[in-house]
Amino acid sequence: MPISIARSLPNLARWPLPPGAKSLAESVLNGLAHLLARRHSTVLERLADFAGASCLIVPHDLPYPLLLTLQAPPAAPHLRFATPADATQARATIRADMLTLLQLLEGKLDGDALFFSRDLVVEGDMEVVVALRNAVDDAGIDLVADVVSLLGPFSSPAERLARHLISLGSRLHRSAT
Amino acid sequence: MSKALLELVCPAGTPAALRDAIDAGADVVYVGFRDETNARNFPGLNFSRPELRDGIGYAHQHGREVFVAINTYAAAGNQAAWHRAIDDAAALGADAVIIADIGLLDYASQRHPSLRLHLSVQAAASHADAIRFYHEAFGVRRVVLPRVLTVAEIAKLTRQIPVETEVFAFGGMCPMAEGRCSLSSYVTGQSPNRQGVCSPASHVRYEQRGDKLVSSLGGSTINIFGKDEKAGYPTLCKGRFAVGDYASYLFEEPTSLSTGDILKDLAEAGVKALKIEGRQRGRAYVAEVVRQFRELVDGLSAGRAMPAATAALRQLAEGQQDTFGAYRKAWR
Ligand code: SF4
Repeated sequence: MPISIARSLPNLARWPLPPGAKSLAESVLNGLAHLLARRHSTVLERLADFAGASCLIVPHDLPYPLLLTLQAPPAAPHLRFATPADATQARATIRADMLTLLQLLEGKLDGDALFFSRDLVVEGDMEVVVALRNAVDDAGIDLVADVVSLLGPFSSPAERLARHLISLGSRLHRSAT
Repeated sequence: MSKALLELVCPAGTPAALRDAIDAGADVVYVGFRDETNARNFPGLNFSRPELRDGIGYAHQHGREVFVAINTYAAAGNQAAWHRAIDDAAALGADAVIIADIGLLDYASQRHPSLRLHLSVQAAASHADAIRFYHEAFGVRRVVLPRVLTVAEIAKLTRQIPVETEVFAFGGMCPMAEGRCSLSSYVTGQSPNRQGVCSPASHVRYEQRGDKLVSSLGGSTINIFGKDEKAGYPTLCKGRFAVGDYASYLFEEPTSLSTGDILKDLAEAGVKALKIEGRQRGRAYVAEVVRQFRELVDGLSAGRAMPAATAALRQLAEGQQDTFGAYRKAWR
């Protein structure tokens, strides 16, 4: 099984973003949302009934909560950093640490079990949360493969290199903790 | 795969879960269409027609089977969606359809005489006369037994009926009579029997109040979980209700049925197939439960005990608690 990029992030995820990098990070996040939507179009189809619904995604070990707004297919969901005003607009909130959220995105963890153990906190309208969970779970998202696909003919060696670095990072992280 | 003593019938709510279940060792995967014709009609879940066609193709390529659950009760005067589901399942090459409604069994047996019919647990057929009726009237070839029978009762029943039996082996429990429960309808106006959903997500709210997690259904609080307490599903049957100062689970605690330790008894009782509940669960869960049950069933066929698999399954249970349910009625 390919190594998840999510596994290598626990330390990285705790580094707060410098304010100047926020808009750049937002463009990268949105680019990622577009990429995933393009490569996993069944997600959009499964979420078609929820166009316009927004959901706060709160990685509680990062200083920036995100606001995900679903769009009518074929438009990709919109992702940006949330503002305090979004708390009242969002239909639901999903909270967990960044590593858990990324592993959920890749379908590597069971959301119900995380909810039972209280490692995943959900609030608000459960219809949109359940739909999101089911759509993402089916998609077979693999962040490494999805991102390196942008490199076209270089994607295979880049994927090998990325997985090697992630594996190395995981080992270093494990030995340091 | 060698012929095992028990067939493993596994859930899939999405094509990815179907593939994972098959890769993990499922003999059969059961699925539903993306509408009210099946009892897991959850947002974002289930199969479109092209997805079912591809899923059946994947299963057959691997020598496995796909059953399609069309196990809600058709709306009076508006059966078209259910009829279409049966016609499409047959046309797409489903290996069986799982039905509870007598009218739909009649329709399927008349229109698709070669389509294999299984009686859904939602029919709650728990005695020989009822099961024989379904066999004689509609040619039903397997019954999914309701979760109210002891192993001894199952052994007696299998000797009296001319059809195969499938029993629940792992997962969420319905403590009420299947196909008859109105708790969800009472609070939300929607039920698993008609709309295919118990405690619909649209009526569920969770709220964090300090350290406490409050769950409500249709505006009624059904549980308040303390700081480190494991949470459970927001169904009324697992609600915790307070009388005076005392709050307790009236019907059922958050727990999962688990039969890892009694598979031999079930096989000796004449059971043909084990059903794992959980089409609404994620594929990581499905793959892990199927993997552990594959070990258990193969271990049973080879005469090996597999205690590690049973322990691993406990970790996957709701509230990390498991029970034999009615198979061993400890409360009697
Ligand atoms: S309320 Fe409980 S017993 Fe009734 S259908 Fe829902 S899960 Fe089953």
